[in-house]
Amino acid sequence: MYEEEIRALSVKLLDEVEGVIGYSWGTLPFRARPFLCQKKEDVTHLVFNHFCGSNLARYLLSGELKEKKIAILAKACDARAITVLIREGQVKRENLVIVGIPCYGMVDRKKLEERFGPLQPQDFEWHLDSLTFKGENLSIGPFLEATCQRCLHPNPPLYDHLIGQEVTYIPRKRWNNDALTKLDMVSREERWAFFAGEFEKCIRCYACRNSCPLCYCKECFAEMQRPYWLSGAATPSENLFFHVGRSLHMAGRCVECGACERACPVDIPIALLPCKVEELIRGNFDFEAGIDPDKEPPLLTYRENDPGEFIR
Amino acid sequence: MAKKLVTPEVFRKKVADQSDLFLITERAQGVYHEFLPQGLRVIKTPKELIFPEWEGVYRFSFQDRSWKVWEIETGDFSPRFLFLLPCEARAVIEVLDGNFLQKDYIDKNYWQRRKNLHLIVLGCYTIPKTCFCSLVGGNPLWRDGRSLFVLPFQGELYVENDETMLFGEGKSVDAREEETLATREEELKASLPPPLPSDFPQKLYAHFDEGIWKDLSWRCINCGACTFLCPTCYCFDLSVEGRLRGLTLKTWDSCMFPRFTLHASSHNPRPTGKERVRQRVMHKFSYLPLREGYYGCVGCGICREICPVNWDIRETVERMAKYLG
Repeated sequence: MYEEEIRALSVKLLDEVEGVIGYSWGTLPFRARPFLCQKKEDVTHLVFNHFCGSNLARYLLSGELKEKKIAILAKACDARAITVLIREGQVKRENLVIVGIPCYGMVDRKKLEERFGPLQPQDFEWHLDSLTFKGENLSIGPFLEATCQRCLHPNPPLYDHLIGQEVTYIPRKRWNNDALTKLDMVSREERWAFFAGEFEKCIRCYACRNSCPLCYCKECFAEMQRPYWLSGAATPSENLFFHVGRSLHMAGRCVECGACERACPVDIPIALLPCKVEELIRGNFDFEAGIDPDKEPPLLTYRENDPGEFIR
Repeated sequence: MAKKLVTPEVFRKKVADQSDLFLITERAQGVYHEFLPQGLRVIKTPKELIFPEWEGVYRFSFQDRSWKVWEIETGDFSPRFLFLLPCEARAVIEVLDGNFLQKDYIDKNYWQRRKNLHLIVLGCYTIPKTCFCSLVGGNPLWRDGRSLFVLPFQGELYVENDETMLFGEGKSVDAREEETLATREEELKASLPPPLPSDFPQKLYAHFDEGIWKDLSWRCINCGACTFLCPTCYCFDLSVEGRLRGLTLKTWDSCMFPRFTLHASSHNPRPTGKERVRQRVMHKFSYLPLREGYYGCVGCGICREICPVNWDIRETVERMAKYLG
């Protein structure tokens, strides 16, 4: 998708930037991966498709690139994460050339495999919001990752160049993923049992944290020795503490990209927690992270005339 | 070595009848599900049974102006049988046993668990896309000669070393069948990619300071998913919980983490992702083979499968081999 446009633009941009952060095909079927393109002859590796899940904003923080002028391919959630990083003073806007891409959602390999069995890439043909499998055209909705089915912002809010046409529908309304609502409907005990069961699987590899574009603390509370917040033993309660702690640190900052959930090697639906927190913030403060760079983040702002008594 | 053929029906029934005794790895389950009854306890990787993610090593307390220290005993484990693929078996027998059961030091807790864990190696007949055992000296039918070994053969299951008749008496293998088996094994081995050059570990060692490492490591986000699910990665951390009363905790650790080599002085000899990725590759493909004679990688490919950014160890090693010539 859009490959020619992306490559042509990258050739031009490479005159003024140190590199273009984008995606290339991976080494296994149905996998695209982050790719740093620094030479004009390498632009042919740049691709964009339904498997470009990694949130590239994460790579802006790696030491090498931090102070350099960089171009970055940004889906809506990558652009939202970049907006938060700029707001939080982690990257400089003037160092970035943002190439926005309207996004129709990322496909979950496991859902494809469940439906079609062992995967043969040549059996599939991909379109913006549908796929063709052996001649049959199917809507892409059921195969999208859960966070993409719940997406409210398919178009990047911030960019210097825009590739392709803006998405004209709201994915959440169209694909109707109601996992969050379902969790609200069940009793506290059932909800507790659900999360306890999921977090028991956690091996504390921190893939969720490390793939998150906004988890950039130099020292994570999970690994701190002084104070010693949580034990290194991956018991269900310590795991729950880690994930709840992380969700609270992300409150009002999370851009709901699903990077954490996508990265999890033991298939925990981690994004449910931060996404629920963002739902509450949307409802209570009318705020969404990374949409409007000038809007004050409610949980990172102090006012002397705050209406909440506990804070004054 | 006792060799026999068992019908799939008998095999399935015997396993079902004694299902409490058996465990299976997720990968072995993926290959052998049609031969096995449902409901066996599935584990991610064999190491979690013998080298658990965390365990207490000793308790301590300060009482009556002196320190008291108690070792935490692992307890006795009843015998169990683990179905696993050849690569996973090799990870246990060569690498984990090699590390925890050394001539001059035996990890007591490891041994407590290991001595009653019997491995049943399931010959790998559908070779998954992600694995590369032949590159690191293995093959899909690798076994150590002592462990139980099972392989589908001419509509039946070929079984080696079943001294206790776990899978029934079966019928013995005749000379012709044995020859067919041996031929097939040779053909299979010949069809696989050749192993890495024998001087690869030495050459890699000599190229510690190469600029290519920066390029190779760029994509890696330094999480521990690969090392935690790797069947051979055995690094652990010891931390003390509590001050006047508490315990020393042994947990999995990962060379991908910034604290892995952080010195008390706050100096870190592996300050960035480049050094950490290099360490992972070097330990598995240079230090271990040079020191112990085996690779620290069995080519199972689980790290390739689960890596969030498709950082690929096979690709890296092949690229290095080509680069070093």
